[in-house]
Amino acid sequence: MIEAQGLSRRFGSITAVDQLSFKLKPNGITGFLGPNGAGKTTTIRMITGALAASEGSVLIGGKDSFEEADALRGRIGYLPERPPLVPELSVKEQLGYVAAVKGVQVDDSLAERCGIQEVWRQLQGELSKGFRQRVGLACALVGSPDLLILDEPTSGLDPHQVESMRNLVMELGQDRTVLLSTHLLPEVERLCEHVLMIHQGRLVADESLESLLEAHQGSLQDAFLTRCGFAESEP
Amino acid sequence: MRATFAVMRVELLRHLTTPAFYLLLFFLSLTSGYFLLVLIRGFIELTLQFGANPEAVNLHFHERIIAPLILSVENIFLLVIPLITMRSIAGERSQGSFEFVASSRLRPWQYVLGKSLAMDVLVFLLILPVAFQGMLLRINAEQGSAFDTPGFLLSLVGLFLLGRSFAGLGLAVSAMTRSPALAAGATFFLLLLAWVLASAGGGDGFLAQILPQLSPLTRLENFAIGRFVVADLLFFLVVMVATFILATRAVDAHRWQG
Repeated sequence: MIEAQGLSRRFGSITAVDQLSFKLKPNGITGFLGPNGAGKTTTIRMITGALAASEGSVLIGGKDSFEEADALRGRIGYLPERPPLVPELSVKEQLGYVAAVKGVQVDDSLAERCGIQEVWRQLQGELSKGFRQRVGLACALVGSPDLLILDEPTSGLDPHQVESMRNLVMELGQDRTVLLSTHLLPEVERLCEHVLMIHQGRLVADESLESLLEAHQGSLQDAFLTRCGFAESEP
Repeated sequence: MRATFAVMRVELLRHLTTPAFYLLLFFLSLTSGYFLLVLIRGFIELTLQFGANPEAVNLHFHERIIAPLILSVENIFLLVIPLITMRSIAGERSQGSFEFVASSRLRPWQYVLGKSLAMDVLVFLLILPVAFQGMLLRINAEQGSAFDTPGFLLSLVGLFLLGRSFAGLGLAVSAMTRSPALAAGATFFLLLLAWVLASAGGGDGFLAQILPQLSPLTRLENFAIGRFVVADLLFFLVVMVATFILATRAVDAHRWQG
């Protein structure tokens, strides 16, 4: 489904992403882990086509993410860390806007699926953090994309909202490819079958969760600290 | 085009559902209304003073009232339009809603066209108070009076073209930064430069003749007196197209620069 080939991105003299290559198969949830500043968001932005790569390419369903952007319209759903909502629009208007830009129609069941019926006509500038995340997810789901990319979807949510969001992500992963970027290791352990780990722009893990845990005495934290080179600095 | 119109609709909602635009519209109405009253009062005094000897001074109604009114509104546009365009693309980038556009596969020209169409509507709304003031004069004018309706409409067209050119420049600047305040400041500075260019004439030198012609404010003068000059229309169209291209390139550059 997604194939990155030698993906690199430089900002002046800084290499944010360095020769990333990986392949994700269709359906299922892949965790995308890495410390702050590792290059996760940069990689995600290159996958979505929001940022051009300095080198390499991303193929989605065999099509280049940047060169064949038109063909991929509507096939990718992206929820950034900060949901890209227009505060002056109502939830209904926002989803209509997203649908128009993607060239699709809004699915009537979307509001119920994302639990946003009660705020359907409310201005987004007045929504709580939890509802903003849900609306952001609904926007990402407009057009039923094959690929869903979620960047810290549970960030800032209360425990009940976190649980609700995780259940929804698990459900979504059953019939589409989900790339879940997160700092929360328990979230990865619960939701993901496959793990990509990135540190200083380089891929340090690309394997199943089971195999990663097996290699690190069943501890994802240990795997994270070791693979990202933090383990040696522990007292 | 559905996507373009969606961008236009959202941009209009962003402006028309917040008080800021209406405050600017009120400010423009109040200021232009005040100028109109001053101009009418001055014209009445002139008429009383020179009515018996009209050859001594120009008592042409359009040139004494309408043209100065239009030219005064152009100065108000210098302040008002940067405050509108700053919220356009720069405002979206600072709010975070631009990320959706960047990752949506919407082509930059479609996005900028949507924004530009919204600016067409907003500038049209800005000239409505002036149109209303002219309509009041027309209604109260006596039969056979000197109110030049086609001339006045042409003046409004010129004002729209000027406002739209300013908005195009503001949009291009707004696309180059994520700070709305910086976008407003830079746009105002550039419009001030246009105002200085317009004032650079008056001498005999080559530059004194050429520089004012490069300013949109100079190009409004013929429209203001009800005279249509093709070169002026082409000038405005060139400015609008050039700023459209600049804005499109700036939006596209975000994908390359990050």
